[in-house]
Amino acid sequence: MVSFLFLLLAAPSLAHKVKVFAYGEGEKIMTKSYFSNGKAVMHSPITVLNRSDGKTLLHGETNEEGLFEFPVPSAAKQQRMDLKIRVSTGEGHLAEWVLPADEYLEQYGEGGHVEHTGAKDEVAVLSGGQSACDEQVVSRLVEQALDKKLAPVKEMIQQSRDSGPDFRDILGGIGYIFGMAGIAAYMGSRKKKG
Amino acid sequence: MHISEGILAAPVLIGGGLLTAAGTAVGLRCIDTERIMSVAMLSAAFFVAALIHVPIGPGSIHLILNGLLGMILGWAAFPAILTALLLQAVLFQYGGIVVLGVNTLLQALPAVLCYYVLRPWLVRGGRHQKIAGFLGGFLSVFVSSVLMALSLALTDEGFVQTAKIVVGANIPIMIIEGFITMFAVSFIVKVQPEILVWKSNGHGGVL
Repeated sequence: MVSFLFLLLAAPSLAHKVKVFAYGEGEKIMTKSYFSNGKAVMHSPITVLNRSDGKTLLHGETNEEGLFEFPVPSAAKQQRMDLKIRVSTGEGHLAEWVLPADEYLEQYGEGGHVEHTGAKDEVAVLSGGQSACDEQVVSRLVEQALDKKLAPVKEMIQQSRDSGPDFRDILGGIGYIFGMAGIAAYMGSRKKKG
Repeated sequence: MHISEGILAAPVLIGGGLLTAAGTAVGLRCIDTERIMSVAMLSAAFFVAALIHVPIGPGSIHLILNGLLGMILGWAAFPAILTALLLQAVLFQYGGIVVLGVNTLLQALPAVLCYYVLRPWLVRGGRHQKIAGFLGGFLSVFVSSVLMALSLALTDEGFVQTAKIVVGANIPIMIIEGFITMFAVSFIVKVQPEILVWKSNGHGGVL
């Protein structure tokens, strides 16, 4: 009975487009999955793949809010893999998001030695800000802050890109159908005459 | 009711495509010039129905109307549904071109089934017509769900498990669809009774 109720609750998710969105935040990668009407994709399996060879890196499940986060896999960090994040709802719906290595590794710098920069910052600032690494540190901090602030905006853009069919498209589709019927009728009448 | 691209295995996609091609060929043969407009109108109705989402409970659902198409169009439901799904895929990225064959089959096959099983009742009128209308809406969605579960199961997951999810999820749609189809049928019969006559006049149906 309980599982039946669950099925009923899961019902309305059918027939909607699924979307997944991911961004790097520090050592973690955050993902968010939702249906085209904005509702979260709950308790659905997520797979993280290496984009170039399609190998699975890790599995996970979205939570109540459609969120799933995971630490950047060390293999991915070392090989600068582009990640493909795939969410499937098990009812024939599937969505993918590609997260290029640059996007989630940027904040570590080229070599990936982030851990020490925090301490370096302070030293640099204290000593009067004249050292050469100053500029690097500032730009890194700015990038980090921008990433954090822009993540919701990116998500909004992604979401608004497919807000569902609008009136114009629907009318257009109806127009196509009747247009084709008109052509078919014309061909039919020509055949009859000929 | 769409399956997205990238889920089904190639044999399922190819099989679905071939069966849809066959069904469409049969359907096109039984459309004569007089019926083109009713096919187009129902195709447009099918196209629009899937786009209008009615919020119910925590999410929203939409109508499918394949039972209605099947009972009125017979085999011509294949080209009608194919056209509507093609436009949905191209304009809104619902479903997709690669899965078009399977998606069409999922919805058009139950439609044709309704035509053979329920149409005789529909033509008799009265109470029979109402029951046939309801069953047409209900069963077409049910059979579509089973077929959907089957095509997912042929790819990987177990059939019973998938069928439970998909059929269970569609139960509210089946009931609503049943009533809508019932009213639609009795409305159409009142307004345009000749739409039901073609089969008994002996033209249109192939078999």
